Amino acid sequence: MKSSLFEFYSPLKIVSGRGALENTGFELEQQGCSRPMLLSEPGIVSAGLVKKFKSAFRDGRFELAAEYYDIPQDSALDVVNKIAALFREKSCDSLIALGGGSVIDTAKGVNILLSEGAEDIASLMGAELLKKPMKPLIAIPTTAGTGSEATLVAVIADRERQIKMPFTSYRLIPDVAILDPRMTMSLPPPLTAITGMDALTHAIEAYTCLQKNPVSDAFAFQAVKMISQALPQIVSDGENEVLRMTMANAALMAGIAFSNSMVGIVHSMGHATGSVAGVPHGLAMSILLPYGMEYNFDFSKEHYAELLLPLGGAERYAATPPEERAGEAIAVVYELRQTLHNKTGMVLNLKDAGVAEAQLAEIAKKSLNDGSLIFNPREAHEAAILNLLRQAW
Amino acid sequence: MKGFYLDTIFFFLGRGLQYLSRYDPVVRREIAAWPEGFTFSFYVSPKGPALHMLKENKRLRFKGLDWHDSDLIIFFKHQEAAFQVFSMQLPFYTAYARHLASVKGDPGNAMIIYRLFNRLQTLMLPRFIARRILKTVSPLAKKDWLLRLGLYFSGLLFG
Repeated sequence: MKSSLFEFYSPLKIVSGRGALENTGFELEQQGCSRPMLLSEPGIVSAGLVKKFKSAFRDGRFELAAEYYDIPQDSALDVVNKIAALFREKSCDSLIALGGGSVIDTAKGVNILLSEGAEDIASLMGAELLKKPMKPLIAIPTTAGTGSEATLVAVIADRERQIKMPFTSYRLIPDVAILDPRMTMSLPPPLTAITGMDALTHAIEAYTCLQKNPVSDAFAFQAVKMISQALPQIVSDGENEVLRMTMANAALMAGIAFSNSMVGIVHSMGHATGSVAGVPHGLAMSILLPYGMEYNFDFSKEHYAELLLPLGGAERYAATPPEERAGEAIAVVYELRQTLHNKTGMVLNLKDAGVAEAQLAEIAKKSLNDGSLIFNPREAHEAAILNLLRQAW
Repeated sequence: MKGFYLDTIFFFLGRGLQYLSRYDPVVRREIAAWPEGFTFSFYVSPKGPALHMLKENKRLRFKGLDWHDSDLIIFFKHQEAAFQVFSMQLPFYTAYARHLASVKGDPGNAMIIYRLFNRLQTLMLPRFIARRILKTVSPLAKKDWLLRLGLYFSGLLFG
């Protein structure tokens, strides 16, 4: 029997825990930088997080050379162009991305422009095409969900051409991720719930999709365990710093896992649901995850059975006969969603998330062309996806 | 030898796709999303061979085995990777998951190409071989058997 080839790459330095923010200046210095540009978005500014960051950052080493806080919900090309111009104008030498997935993805987009010097970054769309070294990038996530601080993916929207451009390259992985509880402490329970479910989906799909490998499995398995334990508690105990850090670390680990193993049908449907009906990504993941797991059941049974241990805990695992463990793992996911619904009001179906029944066909069609689908263990045709979406509606 | 094999199989695949884009409603529906003049290629790094296709008059045209820049390119990292895929030893999705192949261009278009080749291989290959390289092999309908005969007796050679 031949062994399977796999690749794993994660050059990320992780600085995690209370006081991590204060290390930002030192980390920039380690990268040989002294003129950083800070990127964030209006919601982060109004939540006071930029202010908190700045007060931790001022340690006498150097000042911010430029700041940009107008990043929209979806990372957009026109904004990326504007930031790159400002970066050059102010002779910056590095980027600090303070925010959620959109801010970090924007920073990655800016980095592509700055490093590759391409006139049209659409020409670099695809996988493993970026060849030139990037500017040092420090990511400071303010949610525990997307894992963008650890991944090789960036999605930039071109609003003029009405397309979303995905870029995948090992060069896009940030240099340093700084996880500090002060950055996620104020996240409200509903947002904590859906971003946490996003991270759980990353971990579960990473553990079960076709690019899985023993190293990504280790990250995914541990992330599932940490999220399953912390998420139901944190939504009613948001000030708990230990739980906040558990979620932040788990989201990062799930990010490392899926950056190396990719994701499957839940993400294919989730991306399309966001694009057609504007459903936030984390919410789409929360709704679609168990349906995607059921769809893959016969193809991923063994992996789901293994996941019952981190999902349900040792006692439940031991009390469940081996042949029932896979199904039980899916039952735990349903229970977790119900708990989050009860505690935060998180919606459980696409209808309540604002998706019209008439939109389901378009979502199914779009899901088919999502790049994640190739990594799904089971082939999915349009009719099968539509059927799943109807169940989730 | 492997280079010669890839040249040959690319020729048959190119002609086969050209044929299906004329007669198979499934393939015609898939390529309808592409604008006229859309091009795609398979390319085996670092020096070829390549398979170059063009959409023209609502159909696909096999443009030959020479390298051309295209709207969508699926690269194989080396000849061995392409050989394993096109000698039906390794499913394309596995090669992609193992980073033996990558994509330049919109991954959405790559997914269309993935389905086109799945369709071609379903029609072209005996079921016991197709099952080794495709996630699922749908049973052939009556019309599909006619397409298969067309492929064998005309399509794969003349397009």
